[in-house]
Amino acid sequence: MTDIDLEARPATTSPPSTRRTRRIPGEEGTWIFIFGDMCVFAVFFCVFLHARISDPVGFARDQAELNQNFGAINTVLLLVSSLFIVLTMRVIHSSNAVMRAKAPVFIAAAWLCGAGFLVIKGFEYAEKVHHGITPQTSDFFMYYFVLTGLHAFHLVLGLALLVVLFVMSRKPELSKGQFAFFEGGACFWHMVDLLWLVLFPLIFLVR
Amino acid sequence: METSTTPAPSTSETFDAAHPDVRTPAELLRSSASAVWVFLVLATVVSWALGTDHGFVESTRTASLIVLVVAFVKVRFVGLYFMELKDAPLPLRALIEAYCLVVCCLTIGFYLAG
Repeated sequence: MTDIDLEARPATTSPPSTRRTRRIPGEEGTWIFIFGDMCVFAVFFCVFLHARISDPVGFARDQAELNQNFGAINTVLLLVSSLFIVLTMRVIHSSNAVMRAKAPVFIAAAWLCGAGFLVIKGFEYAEKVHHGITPQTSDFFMYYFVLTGLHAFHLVLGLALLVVLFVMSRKPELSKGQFAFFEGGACFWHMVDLLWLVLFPLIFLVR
Repeated sequence: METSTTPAPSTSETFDAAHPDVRTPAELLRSSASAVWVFLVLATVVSWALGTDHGFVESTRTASLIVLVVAFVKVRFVGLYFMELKDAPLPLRALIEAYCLVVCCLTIGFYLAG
């Protein structure tokens, strides 16, 4: 099993005091999964824009039906949740018991932000269906529902993962393997945020 | 199967390089990741304005191109500072840099073709 000792020192002649320790966050396998997922979404981004080439007027008309404010609020919610995970990774190492005890609190806050994203996404979908808009309505809405739905699926997986991290963060100590998993889980959550940072402008803002 | 435990992470030399011991709330927020987060929120507001006619750029096409470039700058920052790839071994760091550059160029290319 790969653990956090996995590190490669840069080939440098700089003095030890200025030398940075390079290390892989989480496990190597986690990164194969994360970059694989990111590449799949990169293909989706291109497929969406390629489909737009054949009907730019139709895509612009359908995009005008979207509520950009929902998308923007959701972006901020995911950014806040990512910040909570960043803070978790900072306090999980703390020698101060009070700071260390904040880790599960931060993870719970990140989870609530993620759940808030899903609630708003639910409102957004309900609004569309209420106006008779479904994936069959047009190519644009087919891509809208498939891409945002796939992202929401990743978010649900991320929420489940955060529950595991929450339980782990309550333990007084983590083994090296557990810590690598913990770090990998945090990176997966950041990936969910990262994908939305492209999906939101691509679907909602680019005209 | 890994069985060893890390009694107090902050005492481990391996942890210290990437994760300093944070003992106070002030130390908690004092990091480059916090500054990056403020930038990400501001960039989101700017992108929203550009994409919803609240913007300061008249040309829709120019506004959209700015929105796309800003999106990939944000992705890069999340990768480097939130996922901590800034201090990852060079091949992994190169992977996130290449991803941002290549996918940004591809999306801009497909957008301009439309």
